[in-house]
Amino acid sequence: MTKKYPHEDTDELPPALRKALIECGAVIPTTPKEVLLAERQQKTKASPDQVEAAFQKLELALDDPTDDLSFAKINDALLTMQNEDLAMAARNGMELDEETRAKIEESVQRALRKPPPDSEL
Amino acid sequence: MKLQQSRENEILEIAEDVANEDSLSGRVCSTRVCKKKGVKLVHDSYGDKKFDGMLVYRSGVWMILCNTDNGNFPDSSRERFTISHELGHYHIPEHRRLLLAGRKPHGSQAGAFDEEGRPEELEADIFAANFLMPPVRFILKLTALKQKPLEGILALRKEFDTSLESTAIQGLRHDPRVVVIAKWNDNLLGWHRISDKFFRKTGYRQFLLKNREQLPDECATLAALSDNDGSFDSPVRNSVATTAFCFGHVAAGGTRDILLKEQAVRNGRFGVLAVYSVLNDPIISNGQGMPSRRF
Repeated sequence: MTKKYPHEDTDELPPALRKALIECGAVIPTTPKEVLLAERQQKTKASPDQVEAAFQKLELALDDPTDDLSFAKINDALLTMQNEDLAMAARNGMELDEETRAKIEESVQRALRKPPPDSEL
Repeated sequence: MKLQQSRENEILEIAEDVANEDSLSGRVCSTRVCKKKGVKLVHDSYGDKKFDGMLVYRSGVWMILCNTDNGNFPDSSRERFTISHELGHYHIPEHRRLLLAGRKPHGSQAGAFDEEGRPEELEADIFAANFLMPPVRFILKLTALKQKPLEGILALRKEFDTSLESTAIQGLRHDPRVVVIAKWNDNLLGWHRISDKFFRKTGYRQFLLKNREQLPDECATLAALSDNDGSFDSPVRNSVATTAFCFGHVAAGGTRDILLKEQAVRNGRFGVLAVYSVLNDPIISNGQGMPSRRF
């Protein structure tokens, strides 16, 4: 709690919890010691320029509340998939010839035309 | 290739959660899960040995294609495993994310995860085994059965409607008596797996038996190899072996040289499954199953 506003709620966290949250990247480090702690957990090796560019992008996004902050890549992914791309994972897959690929395409088209099964999602 | 234990545990947890969403006891129904999740199922003939199953994402729709030319007929054990494998790609977050991101197969590959050295296919297999045979249900049944290891595997296979091989692998994970399982394709060893416990703690690491000529006369594996490959109800063959004979770097007569029960059964044209286990029979109750005899 601050002295100026004694009844103000603060986001002060127990030190151990704050340390853990910084380590897993859930809280932005605010002191040099915390920055060092966060950097130790950093697995990606981004250059200072890359970090700077990403930070600027984040600042711009924070300034503009209408901007969509896609922290998870899932939004980007869905956009990528809007162009009728086909993603597939095969069990015991071998080399696929043109004929098989055509057959797969035919099945996919047929399945897309069929009404969806009763789904809970 | 082998997964880290922590990763395997993560996948196991996801698989068991999805299975429990479907039902809390008895058999898990993979087609019912597809229906609940809105995943379409398509059965068609895509050519012999092209692929077993394929998870496809197109225009916001998930679908699983099952290749009937590889035996993935509706309601067959193979189809159940294939659908469960594809449901693994669907439920494991990293796989799903990659597929949603439009990761496409390279060149002639059939699937996005078919590059050499990628663990995703193994992860989906581990998901499938633990989805169809959720560990809690599997261990309960295994304990209740009180049978010899291979007889237990055969009974559990029927109980869970799974393939002999995947049930045997699950048996290896959860039956503390089992030391190693080996799959034989006629005259040669196809693959083998050593139990983690015996691999790490006892140090049985190098399985020596690789071809038919190495098998002693009258051993269970040789007898099963000689059984008719047109039948799927072949008898279980039994014999005894020693760890010094089966594993490298085990001194004959030393402390790690123990008697093993060798059991084998022919699985029709798919070859022979051999299970080597410790001789002390009543299991699981003590959770140990460690060797009790040495000579």
